[in-house]
Amino acid sequence: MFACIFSPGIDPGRYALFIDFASRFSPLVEETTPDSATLDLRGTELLNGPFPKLPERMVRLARQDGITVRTAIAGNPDAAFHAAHGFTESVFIPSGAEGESLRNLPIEILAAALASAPQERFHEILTTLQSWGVRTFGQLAALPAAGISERLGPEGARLQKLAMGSSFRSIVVRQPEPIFRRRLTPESPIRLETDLLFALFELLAEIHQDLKDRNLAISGLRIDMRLANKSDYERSFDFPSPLQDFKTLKKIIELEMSGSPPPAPVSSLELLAKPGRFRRMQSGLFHPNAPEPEKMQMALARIARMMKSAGRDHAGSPEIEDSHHPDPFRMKPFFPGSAPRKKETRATPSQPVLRKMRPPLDATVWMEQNRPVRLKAAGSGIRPGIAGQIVVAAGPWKSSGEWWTKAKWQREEWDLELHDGTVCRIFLDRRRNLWFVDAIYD
Amino acid sequence: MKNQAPLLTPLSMSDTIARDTFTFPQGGITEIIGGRSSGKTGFILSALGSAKERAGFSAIIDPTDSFDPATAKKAGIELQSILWIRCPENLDTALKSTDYLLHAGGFSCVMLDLADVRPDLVSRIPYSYWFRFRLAVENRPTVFLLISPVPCAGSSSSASLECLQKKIEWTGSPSHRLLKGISAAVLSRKRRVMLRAGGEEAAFRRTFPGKSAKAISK
Repeated sequence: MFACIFSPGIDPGRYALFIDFASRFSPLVEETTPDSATLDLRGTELLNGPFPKLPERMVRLARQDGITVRTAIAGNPDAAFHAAHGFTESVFIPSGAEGESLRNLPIEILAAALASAPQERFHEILTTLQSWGVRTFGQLAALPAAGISERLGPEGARLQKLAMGSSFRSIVVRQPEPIFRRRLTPESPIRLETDLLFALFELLAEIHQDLKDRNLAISGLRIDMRLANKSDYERSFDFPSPLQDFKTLKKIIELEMSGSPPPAPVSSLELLAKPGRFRRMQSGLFHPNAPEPEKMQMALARIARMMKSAGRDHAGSPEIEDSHHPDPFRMKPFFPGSAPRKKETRATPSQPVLRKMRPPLDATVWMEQNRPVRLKAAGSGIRPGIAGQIVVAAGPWKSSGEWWTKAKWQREEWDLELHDGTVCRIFLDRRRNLWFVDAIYD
Repeated sequence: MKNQAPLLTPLSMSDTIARDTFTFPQGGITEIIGGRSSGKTGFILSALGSAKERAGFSAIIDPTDSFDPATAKKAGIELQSILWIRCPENLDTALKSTDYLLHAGGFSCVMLDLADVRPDLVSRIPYSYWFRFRLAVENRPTVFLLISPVPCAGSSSSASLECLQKKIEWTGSPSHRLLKGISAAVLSRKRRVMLRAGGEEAAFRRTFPGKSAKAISK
């Protein structure tokens, strides 16, 4: 048996409450329209009691929750829906008696049945039926089926079946998105890193088991902390491939937390996991190796902890940007999926190979007759400096761009050969009137 | 030889070299030495970009942040297969990152680029690092390339190549020069890898638009 609960004029803001109410009577609830829900009551006799008395009970319980409803119970979802919308009182229709019970309902109620078709088509059929003098379910059901099909098409045939009360369909059950979140509020703020990690691992274990039961993996984690100084602290990270190994996840959290611990004691803690499908990759005989996701993620987490001050661009795959900027690339996360197929064309040997200086080295350039004759650039950190007489100077090549943004540039570039054989590229930043070493040809 | 496999064949080089394939040994350290503008970067990118088969994934550990993606792409390298670790001004982090990635495994090529690091700092890297790296790649199908301004890996390297600049070629009039190319020679410093049959030395020229690569052999 199926039930339809109809709440005419319900506020959209209270629809969630309405669905929660419907879920009390069956776990299988379909959100049929914005003001009604259809329930599958099969197997719920022990829960709900005798079905003939259930419609009145539903109305009474809804009134207690502040919802006004009409209900109908019938042998199929469509009959229950039409009964709830057509009758002014709640009804129970015994199985097999749908056609007889619905015969006097107006055919306008069938509008929702053709919701997937354009409304113009329904109005066209409705106008035709009314012109024939067909006004009720019973009159439509009495017409010959073949004639309806020929004149009104498949939509007309469907409407007739609904009018007979003998159609059957499976309801589309509402599946709420599971949220894998755990929260912990300790009695006193957590001060030590070891205690914080212990609490996080407890939450992770519960979430991990939840996901494992659903055959899911974790594609990202977010840790929200409320600190004792009333501020919030958040850490989030995504994995290139969903992970399921608990030890690896623990290690990654440990590395992240030790690299960026919260600045104050933690008074509450929430861990949210993003679910993902676990990828099982089968290597082929002719496929090259790919790094295992768990080992790769562990290595990247260790490297990230070492370079926490360098920001998030320290590791990844470069991607060329569509820009004329002198160094047009951005970093994107490295994804060790299937190796890209190499193009069959040969690499062109005609391109100069550069070794960039990032940031460009400050330089001093001596000029004679508007041409550079001597260069000196001090080294920085682990990079050696460059100095010497300029043997050959080619340039200047002027370039500028993105003047409408903060990244605008305007420069004059020179290719130089120094006396020691170094071939480099320098540029004059026209905006600041400073010289820099940009790259070395190698 | 153990673990020898024609993984990388620099077919973009001269005809002479193209007749003979030389291999970067898998499961070992290949040291490529050269000063500034000696052609070593072009040599390596040309080798990586010319690989006929799928080259898998590569990792580049770059303590001086020198890698130029635009150049690499033009050399035929698939950038999405590159993991680029940028640890500017931090040699210690670069060495540790290399260790982590070698032990993670799964890479066809791991390249530690020390070419722009001061030679005195490179020389001071403890020998134990190279020994550890060698053990990490041993018996694995991974090519470990070490680019350095001076020899440093010692006996831990399976192959050692040296790039020497031969000539810098310019074109055009004295007042309007254009850089055409750098001619360089690649020497094998260890006899384990033969660059061409019957000899140990070959040379190549990297040229700019208008010229094709031409062999200069000794």
